[in-house]
Amino acid sequence: METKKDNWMNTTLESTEGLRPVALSEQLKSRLKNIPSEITVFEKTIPLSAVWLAAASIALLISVNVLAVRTIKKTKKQQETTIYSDYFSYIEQDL
Amino acid sequence: MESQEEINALKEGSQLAFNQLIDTFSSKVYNLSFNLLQNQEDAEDVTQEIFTTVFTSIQQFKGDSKLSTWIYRIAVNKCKEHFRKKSRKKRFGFTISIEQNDNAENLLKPHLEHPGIVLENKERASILFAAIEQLPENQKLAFSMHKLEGIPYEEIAVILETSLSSVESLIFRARQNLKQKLARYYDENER
Repeated sequence: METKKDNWMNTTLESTEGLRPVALSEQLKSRLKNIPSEITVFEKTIPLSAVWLAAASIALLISVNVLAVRTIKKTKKQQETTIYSDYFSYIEQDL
Repeated sequence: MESQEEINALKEGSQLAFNQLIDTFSSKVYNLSFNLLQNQEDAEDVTQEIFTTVFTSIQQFKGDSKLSTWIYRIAVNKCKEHFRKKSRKKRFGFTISIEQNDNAENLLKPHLEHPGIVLENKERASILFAAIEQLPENQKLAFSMHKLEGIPYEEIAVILETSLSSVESLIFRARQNLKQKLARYYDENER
């Protein structure tokens, strides 16, 4: 025998029977229909050459920075070596 | 909207063909998104994303399946992305405490007043939607597509890129899970 609880559960599970589709707003529909022109406008306003130019500039900027960091490190190392060799030659002279 | 001519026109970027596509599929796609996401604004945003993807990727449509199935697949993937974004936000949100998680996440919080439900079923449907929202992702997708959109099992299998038996099993497990959740809700609220 179906209990009150079973009955409640079954009716709840079937409560979406006869579900009607929700109407789309006209505003959304026109937004959707505008998709092709929006994408085309974007493609037209930003030429491919400009995109490549921007990408090349970023790549150049990164390369220059990497090069600069490497040069700074190298110079520091050289300076340290010079200081050490000066110091040791000074001690050697004293002896 | 399934003929080769219309599809070719879409691939050539015809505005007329795209308008026809919107007239044919926008309601179905919006309703699927609305039923899955259970929020009007999210459904509108995701519907726009879906049709943007349809427009930009139509060249990749090879005609292996029906155009509607291909569009549904994009729709389902976009909804999945949205679920993941939402759960990421929840996971990293500061408002939810660890203590709250275990109990609060299992409670059904009816929130959706679905405009397509007949008046006498509104309250119960709201509870059912809250329970559906808590189902595991694939069960939620398969159950909603079949129960709310009336999509046949065979098409759901193609959309989810799985077998027919997997879809049957997903829907069976979804029903079992829903019954458990509803039983708990009844014990806590209706008795």
